[in-house]
Amino acid sequence: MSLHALQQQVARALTGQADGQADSGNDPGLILASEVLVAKRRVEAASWLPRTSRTLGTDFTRRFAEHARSYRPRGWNHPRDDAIAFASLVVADRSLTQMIRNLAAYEHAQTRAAAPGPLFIAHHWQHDPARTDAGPGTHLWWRWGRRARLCHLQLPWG
Amino acid sequence: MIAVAVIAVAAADVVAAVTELPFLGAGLGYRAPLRGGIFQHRHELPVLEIIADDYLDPTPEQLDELTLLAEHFIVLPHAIGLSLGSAEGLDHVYLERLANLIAHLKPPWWSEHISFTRAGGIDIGHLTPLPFTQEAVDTLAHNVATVRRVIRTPLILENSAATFTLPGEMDEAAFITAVVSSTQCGLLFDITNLHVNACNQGYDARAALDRLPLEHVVQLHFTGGHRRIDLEIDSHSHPTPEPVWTLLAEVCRRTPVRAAILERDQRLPPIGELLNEVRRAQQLMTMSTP
Repeated sequence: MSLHALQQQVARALTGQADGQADSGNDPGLILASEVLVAKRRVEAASWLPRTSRTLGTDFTRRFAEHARSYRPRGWNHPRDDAIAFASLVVADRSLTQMIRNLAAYEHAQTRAAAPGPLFIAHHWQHDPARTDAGPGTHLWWRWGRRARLCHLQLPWG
Repeated sequence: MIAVAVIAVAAADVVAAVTELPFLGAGLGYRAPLRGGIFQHRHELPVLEIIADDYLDPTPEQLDELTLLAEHFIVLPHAIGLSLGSAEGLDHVYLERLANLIAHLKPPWWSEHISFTRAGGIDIGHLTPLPFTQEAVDTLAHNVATVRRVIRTPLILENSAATFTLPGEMDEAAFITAVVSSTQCGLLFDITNLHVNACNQGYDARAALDRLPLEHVVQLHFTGGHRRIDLEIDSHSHPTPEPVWTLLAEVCRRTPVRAAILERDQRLPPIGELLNEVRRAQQLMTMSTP
């Protein structure tokens, strides 16, 4: 087998096939490497979503493993994209409490705001995760261009 | 014939450049949560290493951070996603951005891994071992030659850790020797990766030192991982274990080492604990400085 073909086979085995199932054969080292890869993605996502991951606790590990099986990040910004995609799932999951979904929405917006290039993000919360003593509020993030600095404004109304 | 002569001259230049690299001492892999402690103890940290991939598409805030770091420390870029071992070649956008970062920082050298991270349109997101074959050596040499046409700053290559191996024609020591010889790059020798691979593949790490091209070592990495299902995992999550310190001391005894970087990514302890490890490495390095 050529190096190119071997590398494609290993890449598919480590990241999962199109049906979302890992195909690591019976090699325990390859299976473990696949698990390590998911663990590494989870640690990186947790660094972008510290409060969401802490609040979900052990459920974060289980939920992220499910997410990792179906979502394959691409490019060198993949830890950030991975975190954004995972946070979107948490926000959309109505089986979770409103508090956790609020938290994920806040960190989802914050992570998106860390990307380069022009952006404008506005989000309203009933209970502001940035200030536990605050009621409803709106956060705005904006960056006018690639070389412009990130601005963040917190408004005490929604 | 002229083209062959030009390549030979370029390779000789690289070897000369490696031997002329400066001695920097022991330092730390820069991680944003450590920023305050790093600046507080900046006089004990002559050198930092950054993950280049984090700054390939930087925001103005990240550029400020890089500028601040470069004002106070020698900053070595350490790339992860160039995928030098990919048979399908390099991502030229990635390479161009990496070249911009290196031009911005002007480091004495930069580093990448003897591994691949991309194949068939899939970004694996993790350093993946190459088969120990001549085809893999040739692929690395071809890709390194491509990189050198874009980035003139000396490149050093790091041995990778693995929980599995792919079918090969030689052992790891012979493979690394062939890669160093073929690419004419210096070696970023990750002591922890040697320890991890020796444990997982059942060979004697100390005996392997006899067969590795230690004369090409420019820089060391060291850290601690964890064990799972009878396999060592290079998770950068624990203090450097004693067997790694023993190997590190042995390498420093055998060859001059220009820099050693503690790579800690997970379960970050207080800065004082990391500095204790950096100081211990610095003491061992003083034995290696000619």
